[in-house]
Amino acid sequence: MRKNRFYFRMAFMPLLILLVIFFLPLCFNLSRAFFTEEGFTLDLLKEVFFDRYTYRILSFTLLQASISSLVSVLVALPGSWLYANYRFRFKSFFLSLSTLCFVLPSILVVLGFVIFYGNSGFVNDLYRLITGSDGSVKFLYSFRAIIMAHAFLNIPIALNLISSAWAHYPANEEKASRMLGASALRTFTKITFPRLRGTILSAFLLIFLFCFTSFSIILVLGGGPEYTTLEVEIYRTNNIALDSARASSLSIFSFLANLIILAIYLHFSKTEESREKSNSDRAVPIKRTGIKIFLFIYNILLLVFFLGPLLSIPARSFWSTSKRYGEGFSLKSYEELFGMRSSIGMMSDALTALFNSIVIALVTGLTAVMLSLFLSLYVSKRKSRLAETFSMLPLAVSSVTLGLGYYIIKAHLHSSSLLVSYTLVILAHLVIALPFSMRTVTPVAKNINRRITDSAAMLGSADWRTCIFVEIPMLSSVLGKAFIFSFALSMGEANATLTLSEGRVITLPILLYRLINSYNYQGACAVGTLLIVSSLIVFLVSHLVTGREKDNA
Amino acid sequence: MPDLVLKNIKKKYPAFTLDVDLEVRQGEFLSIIGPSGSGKSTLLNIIAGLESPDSGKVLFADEDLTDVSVQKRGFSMVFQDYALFPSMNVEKNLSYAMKIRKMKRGEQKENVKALLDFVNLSGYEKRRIATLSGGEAQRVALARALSSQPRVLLLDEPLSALDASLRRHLRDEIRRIHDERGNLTTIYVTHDREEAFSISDRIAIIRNGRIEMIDTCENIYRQPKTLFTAYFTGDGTGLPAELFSLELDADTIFFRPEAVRVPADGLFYGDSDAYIILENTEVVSAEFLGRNYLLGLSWQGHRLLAESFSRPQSRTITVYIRKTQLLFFRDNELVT
Repeated sequence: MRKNRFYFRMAFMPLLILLVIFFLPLCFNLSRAFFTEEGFTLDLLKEVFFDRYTYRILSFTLLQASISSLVSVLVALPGSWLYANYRFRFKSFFLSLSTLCFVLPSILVVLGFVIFYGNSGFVNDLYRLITGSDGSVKFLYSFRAIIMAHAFLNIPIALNLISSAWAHYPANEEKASRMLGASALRTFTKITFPRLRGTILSAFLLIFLFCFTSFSIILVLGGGPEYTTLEVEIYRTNNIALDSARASSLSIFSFLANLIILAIYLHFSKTEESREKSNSDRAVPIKRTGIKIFLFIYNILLLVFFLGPLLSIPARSFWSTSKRYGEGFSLKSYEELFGMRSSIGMMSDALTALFNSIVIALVTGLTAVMLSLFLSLYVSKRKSRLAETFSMLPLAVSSVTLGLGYYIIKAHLHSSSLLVSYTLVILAHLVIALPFSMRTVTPVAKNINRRITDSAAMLGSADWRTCIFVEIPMLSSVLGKAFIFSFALSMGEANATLTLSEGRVITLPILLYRLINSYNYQGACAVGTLLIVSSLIVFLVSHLVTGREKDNA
Repeated sequence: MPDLVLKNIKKKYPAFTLDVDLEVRQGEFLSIIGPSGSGKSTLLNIIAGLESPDSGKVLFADEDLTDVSVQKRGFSMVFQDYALFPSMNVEKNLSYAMKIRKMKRGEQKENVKALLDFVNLSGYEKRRIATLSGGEAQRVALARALSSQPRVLLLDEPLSALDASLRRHLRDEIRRIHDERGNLTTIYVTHDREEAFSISDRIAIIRNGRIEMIDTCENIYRQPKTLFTAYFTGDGTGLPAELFSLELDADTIFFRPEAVRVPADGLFYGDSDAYIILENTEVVSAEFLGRNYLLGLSWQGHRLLAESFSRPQSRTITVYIRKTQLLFFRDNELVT
């Protein structure tokens, strides 16, 4: 390799920033567990690590994450088979719709579930209409609701990951097996499945990681101490029981557990990445009617399961159930939202919240893209596993743990400046968005043909010039995607913001959370619609970007 | 006069150690051929400055370039996979080096046009890279390599991704470019010996990181210094020397197929003293090459290759090997 320090110099700043914005709050948070007024102690840690209650929470956290991931992967498997092996209309539309779930704010899912499955929700209205009874089926505030909400968020992710990997397996191996006389079943069990195993495992582990650190779904839909996970317990201990030292000890416990899961995930996804891929598309048009019917039913069920809760949010935002303002169609929430009608409480904050969310998301998105650009180029040039793992570490820290770290830093700053609060929120969002943005940019940066940058160098181009005029243009569409990703993640982020801002920085998800808590569902739905619309705009833009990229290829 | 000199270049790899001394003359077209993994591309990268040697020096016109960066060496390279900048059109690819040299816009445009004319792609300025065929992309890559007015042109298997007829056409084009550019010093790496023979002034054979022989095409074919070179540069037969009572200290005799005479009608009209005569030779295969046949023969259990202008009529024939065309090797080295 040619010696050059350019990429290191470029990556140095991002690494330093990551160190400050990620490790500093983490250390602040975790150190709380070791230091009390009497000095250094391990007692707090011992208390948590040897408490049977901690392990009861851990085992529930593991249980719900395992079942959620298992359900998501199992439901996604038949779909992955269809999507990988057959060509049909709207396939790419469905697949890009599924990427939406990576950025769908979980608080929105919570709202959708309450409106759709709740006691006076659409499903129970339908149930009462059909059976003619006054009763209702209880979906919410149960273990089942947690699993369903996790499945809602993660089935599309599993479908997307597994089918796109499957679509790139060389079909010739299976053809060879069939020609050697193996039956379809034998070919599947001996050839296809062994290849698929790693992909399934890798998807399972990623979803497991998401579910393990899931927060708002458990907090709202779980509805009780019976269904408490580590994250919820940390939040409860800190913000409700006001015992931040114990919360920090719990954070250490949770951090260690996450680290183990992340290590396992990275290990398997690494071996997965190195597998041989074919460029040709293995999908063929569907000939058998049975498969056509199966595909149709699968897609319809998927659509109902997804669009049901999501569409019920805008529908409900036009529906008043208030005795005081009259039941039925009403524009009240929107009038309050846009300040056309004076309102009590939080609705008047909506426009501020929208503005805050957009500004915070813009800054987060732009910064995340800059940082991941520099880091990715460095990682791909130096083949630096260390820097790559380092930038993925924030995945191991739940947003609640991180938010708690920032909360402690803020307490140390003794500043009442609103600017400080905003800055801390942005930094916390940045840490959360960075691993996702890195994971979007790095594989493409690694795929840049080294010969192209070599060519530029031989034509006399300095490294900075090659970077600006050759490499960045080659990454432009993926950088756009990473921006949209980070932007959307920040728009929907509720956990860290909730933990650290104490209500001083109101974003759309925070407002949504409060409206749900005060049972103003119509208002919550209006705000939710605002979030959905902004998510949709993000989705459409990203669709346009990837579409353009395909044209160029 | 030597132009480019590699002095004691050494670079260690897990598989082999590159250990090379090489002098390239000014205006020369030198090909480097060798089996895959022999170190030929590495050698080219070291000349280019894309890799640095563990020890040794790269000199150009007596100037030590060993520590000079790629950007400042003034060499150009064409790669097998073209390595065009996909985000720019043809014109921008070609004017990239000119912009770096702060050339005026009008001049850039003229130069691009001239370069495209030169590689027979006039009017391709606005074409996007993705729309070019393999042959077109390779011409653009060539033009781009020339756009920086290089002192040395390096070509790393530039034609191996193209099909046979296009390859033939483009290799003549490359030689034309060399000649018309006032004998631009060119180093061409390939694994295809015919390609090397057809365009080079001299050829270097590289094996396991060492240069086995460097000489003109004719000498390499006719007087290969090592048995490896003999086999690598063309068809040929090696037989144990002890089969023939020869007054020479050699262990192997080697001859090309054209040293063997196969009389068409079984009758041989020549001075039999000038030939080694092998009777009862079995014809194993006859490969039709268009102008003639390449025969695979078996004589006393040894395999032979012979050239013939007609297809043999019988299974066993007598063949005659011209003694003056025999080469003798001892311990894989040519005995003179």
